[in-house]
Amino acid sequence: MDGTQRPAPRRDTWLVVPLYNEATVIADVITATRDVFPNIVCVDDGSSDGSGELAAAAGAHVVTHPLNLGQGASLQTGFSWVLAYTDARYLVTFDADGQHRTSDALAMVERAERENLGFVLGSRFLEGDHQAGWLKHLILATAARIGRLKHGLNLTDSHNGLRVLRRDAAEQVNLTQNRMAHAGQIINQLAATKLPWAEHPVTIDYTDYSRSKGQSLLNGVNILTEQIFG
Amino acid sequence: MLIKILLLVAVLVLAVILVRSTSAAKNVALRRLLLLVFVILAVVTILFPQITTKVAQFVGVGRGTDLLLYLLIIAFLSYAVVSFRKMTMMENRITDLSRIIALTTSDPRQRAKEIENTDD
Repeated sequence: MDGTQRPAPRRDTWLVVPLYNEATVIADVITATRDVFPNIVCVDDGSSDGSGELAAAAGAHVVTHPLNLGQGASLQTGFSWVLAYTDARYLVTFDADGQHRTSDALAMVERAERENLGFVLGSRFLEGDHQAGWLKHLILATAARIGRLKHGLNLTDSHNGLRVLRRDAAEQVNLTQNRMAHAGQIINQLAATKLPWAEHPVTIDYTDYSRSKGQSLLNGVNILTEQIFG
Repeated sequence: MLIKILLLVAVLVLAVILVRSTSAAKNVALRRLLLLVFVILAVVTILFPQITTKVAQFVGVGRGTDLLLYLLIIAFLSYAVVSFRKMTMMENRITDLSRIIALTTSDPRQRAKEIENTDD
């Protein structure tokens, strides 16, 4: 007998999962997440390893890009799909590689509901330890501070993939940056909605697998330049 | 020196013209006019090479070829900027097209109908 209570599934929330060549983990991620979030749409960005089929077999809705366009484009396609075909109240951007925790996503949705927020952004650097490493933290914290000058939001982590958007916020997002610059663009657009928001502490689980695929420190150059000149 | 002022003004004017989004037709007409001007200048300087030296010295540049080089640099940079913008616009069109295909082929109501039909 275990004391943990299974949380009730949230049917008013849709997860948007950009998917590109994650065949080794996607089925597990979908299966584990569906207990809490039964509504998942994966945007298969032209995977060549059968990720799309695996995600569908695990129970996700799959939207397939005919060409590889990038994570930003995948998110936008996911948003457009959810807004067009469902009556979702909340949209959650969620990574396909297992780095995000379902419990964090659930806590963020519940907070958005409780405090009537337009959007909630995850942050690795709000409390306690993080596994990011000091240089990565420095780069991202600097990017966040520069970003604050541009869009006015006081963020500790502006490049976090775990976000909750209420429907009215998502309707005002239109990502035109297909690749990694979308992270800055979505913050700018959400800030422009002037909706109430919050940052919420999340834990990113850096496994060997996800570390090998994550953004290299060299990408820090791109992140900072895009913040300044983007 | 006069050349510095002229070059700076030219760069700024070109930057404003090229960076602002004007209609496609206006852009094309402008580029055709500039091309015509360039052709006329090229023909004149080929026929009367001494002209480049006279003009160069008038604006404060030593040699005619140096002046031509400066103009070439500006022309090249403008071309690069225009090229980049066109490429970005084309990328956006490809994205929009791909998204329409993706959304059309993933309509859940369509899938529901297919499932219904196969249940017969």
